Amino acid sequence: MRRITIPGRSIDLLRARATGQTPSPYLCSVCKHHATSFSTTRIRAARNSKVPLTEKIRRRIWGTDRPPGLEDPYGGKSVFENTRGRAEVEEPEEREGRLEAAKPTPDLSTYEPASTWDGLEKVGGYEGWWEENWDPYHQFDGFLPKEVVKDSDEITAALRRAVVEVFALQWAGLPLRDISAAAPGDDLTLEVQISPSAAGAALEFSQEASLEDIVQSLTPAVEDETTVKGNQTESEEDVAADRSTIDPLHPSSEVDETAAKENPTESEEDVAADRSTVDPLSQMTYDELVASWDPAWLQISLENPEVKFAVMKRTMQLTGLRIPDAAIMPAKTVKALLAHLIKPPKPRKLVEALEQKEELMNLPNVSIYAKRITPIDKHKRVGRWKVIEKELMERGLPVTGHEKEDHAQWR
Amino acid sequence: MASKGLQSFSRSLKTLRAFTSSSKDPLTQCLAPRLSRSMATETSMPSQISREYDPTFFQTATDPAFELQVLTTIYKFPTMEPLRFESYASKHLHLPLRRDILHRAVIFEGDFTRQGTASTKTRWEVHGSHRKIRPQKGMGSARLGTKQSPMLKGGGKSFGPHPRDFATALPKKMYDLAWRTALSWRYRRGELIVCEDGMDIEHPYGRFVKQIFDHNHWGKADGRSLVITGDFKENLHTAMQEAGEDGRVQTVREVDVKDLLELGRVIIEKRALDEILAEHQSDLVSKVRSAV
Repeated sequence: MRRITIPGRSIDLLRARATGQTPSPYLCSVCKHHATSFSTTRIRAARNSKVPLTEKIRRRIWGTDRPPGLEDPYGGKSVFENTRGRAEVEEPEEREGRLEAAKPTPDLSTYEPASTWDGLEKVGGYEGWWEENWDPYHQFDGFLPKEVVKDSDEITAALRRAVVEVFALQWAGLPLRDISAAAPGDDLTLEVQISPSAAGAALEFSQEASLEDIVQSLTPAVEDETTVKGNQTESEEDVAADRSTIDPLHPSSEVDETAAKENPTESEEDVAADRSTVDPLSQMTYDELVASWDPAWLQISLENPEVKFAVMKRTMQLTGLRIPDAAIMPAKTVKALLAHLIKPPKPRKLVEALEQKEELMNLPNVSIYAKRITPIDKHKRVGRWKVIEKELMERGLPVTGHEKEDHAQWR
Repeated sequence: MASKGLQSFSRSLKTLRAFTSSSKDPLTQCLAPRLSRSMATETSMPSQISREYDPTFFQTATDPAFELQVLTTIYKFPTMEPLRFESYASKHLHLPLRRDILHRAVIFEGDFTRQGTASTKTRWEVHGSHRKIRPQKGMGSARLGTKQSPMLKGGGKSFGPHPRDFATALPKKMYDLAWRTALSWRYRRGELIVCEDGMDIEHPYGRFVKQIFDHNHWGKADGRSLVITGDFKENLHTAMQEAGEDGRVQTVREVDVKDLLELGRVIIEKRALDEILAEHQSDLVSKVRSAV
């Protein structure tokens, strides 16, 4: 039924008289129709004052105006009635009065009405609605990370990790298409030795990083998540503990591990923090890491298209660099792929290209600028420009270029 | 008899020795024709990668791997997850760059696209009476005929434009080659991104597609991108209307060679790529069906 908020109508008065005290039954049919087709809160409030039929019967039976027993013998009030009752207890006028009473009375002696809207609070409008209500719930998440790795040593490390992981999957007899099934976590492959062999690559696992660990890190942690929901990140703790033991390059990893075991209810943020402290790269930079590897791993063959695809896919996921098809095609070994990956992008400006030339930069009589050197720059270099500028200003002459009037003369 | 035979043998041995000693000379060694070409050997990686001009084309031009097939990665559209490799014929996606052919194709398209509706009125078409304006003689002014004369204000235009067709001709085989050259150029530069069929986005909003472009580095800062779909994608097309500064989306029917060359990269649905290649291979496929 349509609800309208009309403050008061003549028809209401009529109706109230009709239903209330005076039982004069006359109403034209049109008015009757009008009165029944709308429902307003006002009418409902009027109806509440009426004694219900069951109560009337009870009074008749007992013969008194206050019959004993429950007020409503047919069960308690429904939820709706309860809420309605609560609302009725606090009448709107009362509530407003209470709120006004609670409000601190402002000191009006220092009040000055604003003449402009600067600094006033803005109320209403839809500005920023999308940023607040839509964007947080519709974030796009791509396969490649948004931040692209730029450091060439870091890229090299990522590529090696991808290669080791792919061959670990192959050794474990798992399908290579699952290489990117799990989101990349910590690098477990730092201690694994990899070298080219007839069957592709030979892996030598150390105690810290076994084949099982690596394969487990590559499989999606579906079961982990389900248990996490149930009992308070227990499995996550285990994983973190495992990872910290795996890390050989961090001497204080045992301390972290014990700390983690003592607090089983540690939140996930703390776990993440633990991991970051356990990061081996805090002690060993990427270039040292890359230098520590035997360069033989660069000769690993990528002739098998399945391996090549998996390596490419994993590398892209780790670095955020999209490897173009034209570079994938001729890459027969890991080295060829790496040569493409760490190639710096073509400089967009001539200055950038020239600045990269060592032989030019080392020449004593050559200097490179991003912009044309004007006479003003030459004056500035010897500290003469401020004086010239001041003198020109004093004489009312144009400091740079020509004045417009000069052109206007000749027009 | 036997001694004579031995003598001749020793002589021939001596000449042979002399010949071999002469061939030890480095010059003759260099000039001597080699019977077998040594395989390309992999050198150790230079410590500092050269930042100079990188002639990848010359490296790959002689690479036998490119002779027949080239490899293409198929991506899943908005997430850009690589799905698989597909191979395409080298004559489709690995043609050498021919600027002249591309230029002719672009000019051909430009001519074809010209509307050619510019129109002016000659003195015979301008409305009005052809009455002589003033007498031939005796007025002291120039002699004039009708007021539609091109030298008068409001008169006709002598050699003005008239509606015409600007279209020029280009051999179909050349135009088809231009299409594939344009795609090959994109492929070589790594700017051809082939996506799985059914590329569309979840929400038809510009802000969402802007997020996608920003995440994948396709937007305005990275030279804008052309998205080519096989057919009309409701959400993608609606969203891209609000994200025009980041690129544009076109169906494969609307695309021409100039579009392929214009923006920073081409993101194309596999179906659309196949359609373009199938349609533009008249120089590769004989029109006459072979009898066999």
